Amino acid sequence: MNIFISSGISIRKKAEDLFEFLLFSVKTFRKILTFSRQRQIGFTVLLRQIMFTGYEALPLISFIALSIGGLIILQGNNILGGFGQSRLVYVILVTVVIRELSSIFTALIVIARSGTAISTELGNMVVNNEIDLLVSFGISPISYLVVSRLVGVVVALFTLTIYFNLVALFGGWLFTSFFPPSVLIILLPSYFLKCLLLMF
Amino acid sequence: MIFLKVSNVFWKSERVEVLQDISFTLEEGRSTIIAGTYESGKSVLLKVIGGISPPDKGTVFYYDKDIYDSSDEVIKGIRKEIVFLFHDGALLSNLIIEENLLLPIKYHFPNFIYDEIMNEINEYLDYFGIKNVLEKRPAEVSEISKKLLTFIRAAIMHPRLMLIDEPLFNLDFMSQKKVIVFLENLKKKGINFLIVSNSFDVLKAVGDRLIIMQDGKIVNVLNKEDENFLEKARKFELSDLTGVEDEI
Repeated sequence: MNIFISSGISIRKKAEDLFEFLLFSVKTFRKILTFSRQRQIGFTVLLRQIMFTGYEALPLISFIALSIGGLIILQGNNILGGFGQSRLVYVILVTVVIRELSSIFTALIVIARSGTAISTELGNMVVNNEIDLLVSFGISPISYLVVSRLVGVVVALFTLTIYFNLVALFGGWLFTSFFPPSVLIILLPSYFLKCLLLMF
Repeated sequence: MIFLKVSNVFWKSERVEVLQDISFTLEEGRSTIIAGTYESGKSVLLKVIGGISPPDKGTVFYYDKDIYDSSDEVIKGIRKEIVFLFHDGALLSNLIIEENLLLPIKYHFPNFIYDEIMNEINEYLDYFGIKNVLEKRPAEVSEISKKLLTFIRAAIMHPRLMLIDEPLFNLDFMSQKKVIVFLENLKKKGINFLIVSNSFDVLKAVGDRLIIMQDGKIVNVLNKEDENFLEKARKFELSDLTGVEDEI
């Protein structure tokens, strides 16, 4: 009997949490629509979020993208070269990195880096009465804190994914240029063009 | 004229009844001090009136507007006229001091004149003797300065009512004196106060009425017009509030 009671309580708690989360999401999306009304105070927070999540993550993204792009070209060239199918390495780079891995890697980096920072920051704000302070001003904490961060992270994520793709392509070119450097410098524009054409 | 009416307010935290059937009114030009024992619900009452913690039962009306049950625009208008000062001098940690001071102004008065407001801020900073803080973050500023900065942030709003939780908390002797004179001057300018404090000096400086709270209830109300108002209040401070029977 006790098992039934405890599982019932646990299910009810989970259902309540889910309902609360859905309600919170609805409130957040409603506030996104009216975000422009608070632009005089929310815009700065939005820009700072883009700066933190996007700009400050560039070195890390660059390193990972360069490595992934380079390694795929390097390994692909070695393996496929044995079959005389080296040209397929572009297809692999585009299919694996640009279509799949870039967005996943960028999202993971953003979650690991910015997600934890945002949670810590908001937790500290609750402890220091800063959320109550915003309420006392009449400023909606959802609009000021949540919407600006949500929009900031989405914009940064989108931009970082494009950046990841470009750097991964550059990484591929950089690695291959170790083999016949002079020729590949001349071929760089056509290399990018080929990859971009394959993307679509 | 009555501008704020608190009616039958109840507020419960977990299983504890923090506020039980609180009712009183605030009149224009008359500042009220709420005193009481620790954990008597003074600060919670202030938060309920400030629109931060909705009551479980009861209403709070600012003029004829319910501060918890009105449209967003009406509530925004109320927030412009009622400012709240936390006992620990809450400042937003991710903004520099200047941004902190200007935040409510930017929100409520988007067309404010920057130079005018900055002149006012600098005057207050000079008065409190705070220097070179505008570009710093709250973590780089002393606790006393943080507390004093919240007075400045509230004053530049030119509100109708200031709700202050423990105005002298965390302050040194000199700063306490300055804050008391500061509050006196604001009162002369027509700002009303509802202050949670057990300090006799605050009561003497700006109090027109003293509400005594105990265990979530109002147990006594003293008015300035009452005979020997300050003596009675002093007696409360020494006996009922501190538990000490005789004057020291």
